[in-house]
Amino acid sequence: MTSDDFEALAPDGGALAIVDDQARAAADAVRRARVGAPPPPLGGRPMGAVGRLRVMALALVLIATVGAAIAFGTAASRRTTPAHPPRSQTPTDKVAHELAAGKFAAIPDGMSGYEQLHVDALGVKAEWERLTTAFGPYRSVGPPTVGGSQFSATLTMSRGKVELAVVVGVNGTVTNVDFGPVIGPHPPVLDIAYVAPRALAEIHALVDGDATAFGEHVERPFLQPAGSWMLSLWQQVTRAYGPVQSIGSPALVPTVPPLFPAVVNVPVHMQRGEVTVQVGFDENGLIGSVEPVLPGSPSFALAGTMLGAAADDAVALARSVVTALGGRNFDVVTSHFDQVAAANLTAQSLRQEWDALTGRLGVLRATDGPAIMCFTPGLTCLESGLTFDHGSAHLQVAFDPGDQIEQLTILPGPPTRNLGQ
Amino acid sequence: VPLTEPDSTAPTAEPLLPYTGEAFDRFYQREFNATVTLAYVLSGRWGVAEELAQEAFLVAHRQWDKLSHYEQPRAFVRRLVANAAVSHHRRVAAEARALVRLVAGQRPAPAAVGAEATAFWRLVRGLPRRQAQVTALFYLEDRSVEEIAAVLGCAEATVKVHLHRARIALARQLGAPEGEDE
Repeated sequence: MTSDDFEALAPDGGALAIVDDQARAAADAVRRARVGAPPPPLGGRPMGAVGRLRVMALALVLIATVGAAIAFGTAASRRTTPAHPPRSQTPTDKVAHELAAGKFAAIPDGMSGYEQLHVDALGVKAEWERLTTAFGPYRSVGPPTVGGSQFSATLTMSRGKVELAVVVGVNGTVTNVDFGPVIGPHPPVLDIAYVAPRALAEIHALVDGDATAFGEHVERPFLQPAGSWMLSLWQQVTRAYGPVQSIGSPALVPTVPPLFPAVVNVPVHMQRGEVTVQVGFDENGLIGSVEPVLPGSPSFALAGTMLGAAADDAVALARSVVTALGGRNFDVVTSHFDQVAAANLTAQSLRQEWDALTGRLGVLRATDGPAIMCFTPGLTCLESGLTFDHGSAHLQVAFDPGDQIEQLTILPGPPTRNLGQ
Repeated sequence: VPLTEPDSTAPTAEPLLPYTGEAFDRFYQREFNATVTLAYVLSGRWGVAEELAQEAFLVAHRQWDKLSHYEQPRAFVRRLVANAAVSHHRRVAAEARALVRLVAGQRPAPAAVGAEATAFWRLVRGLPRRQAQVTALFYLEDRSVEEIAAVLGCAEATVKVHLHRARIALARQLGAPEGEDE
């Protein structure tokens, strides 16, 4: 038996995963430092025994001189430098390493105002978990490209690659973190001939409630809002506007919207109105967004654009919804409902649900958020944590572009930043 | 925690297969940088690493006829470098030669690696020799346990034990509070 046979208090799995991640990042850094360095000519390199002795003698003199200087310098630097070196070289390196280490709380520290609402630590954690589920564990981060205040770098995961974008504020703090697909080498031309059949296929699957077919042309880990949630929302749209009568021809939105390089609107004729299903295509030609734009929505939503003010309005409205629920003012909540929400939830049923919740968990003591989970032309989804005497729950609420509540759900447990969960 | 599977999309390490009749020059051009990098993480200095790699390639050159047909030259030079880099005397000698070349301005200064990576490899060099070698080959070169065993000339089970102990030791040091390891 040796002392190595007794591994008391061995590190947990998380610590070993950190070792793996740091080792791979360190390996990448070393490999990158050597890329492109030409090998020296081999011919003049090897020395004979006499040459070596001569060089050794000279080197010993040099070592004695330089060694003293180095020792002095090291001693001086130890007095001034901290025990641990600074963490990283670029914002993308820093964020990637913190993601890999599970230090989500450290990332949005520098965020403020809307950005902090948009990208809070829990939101980053939820998105990172979705990505690692889809692409496997993080392996390394590539060199950044810089455009204005945005740093972008490719994250290599064990089953693919993800684009990381980090926006840095004037004082060097991270003000936004976003993830997206890596654009392939041969992106397709996003004309109507390309997008129309793909959009129609997805909409038919959506209308049929076919969870298997829905998502065939979708950039799955990045789809906004999440596919399963959208299928359930569509059922609620159907309750409000009646069954689908026919599906019209897709039309490309003429302007280039900020979120996707191509957006197509497809009119869906329902028994009690015409809902436009808007489908956004990313640079790879895959679908990044599918959502209904309800009758009477403002024109900016149909044009595939978003207004920053809509997010601010939604945040304020979500706060008022939480306040109204806490005060049992259910009529106030339902007064903000649009046709979809009104067809699926009444003040009476909301009261019953709330009473059942408070009967089980006690009095509402505190709330947090709201945090924005998705922000697209047709929907702004937010989440608020609800802390009761004997447990917690969370409220998820989706607003349409007219700032009306389109969907409201109260779910058990702490906030998840995952729609419908 | 099980080690993650190698990335199927990322460029993987070249297999350690024999190179039947390959010209030495091509082998040298292709393998030099990777070999220097391995030597660097185990020695901590680029100049020393280049010297050690040169030594290894010189030995390989002398035995090329045999190596290129019957052996695994990649594994051969890596074994030489890995052993030399953790040998104190050979490292000191290489350092002296590197110093001379540096003073003579024969080689440009290599690119900076970054503080975090430097700190990590310093921890690796603080491990027992075999653990450091196994760690470098596993993470830096993405070698499998079987390949590492071939490079170092030991059993696969031995490699697994060294790798396991190295990861635990590194996890403890990385998890240590600030200042504890200084």
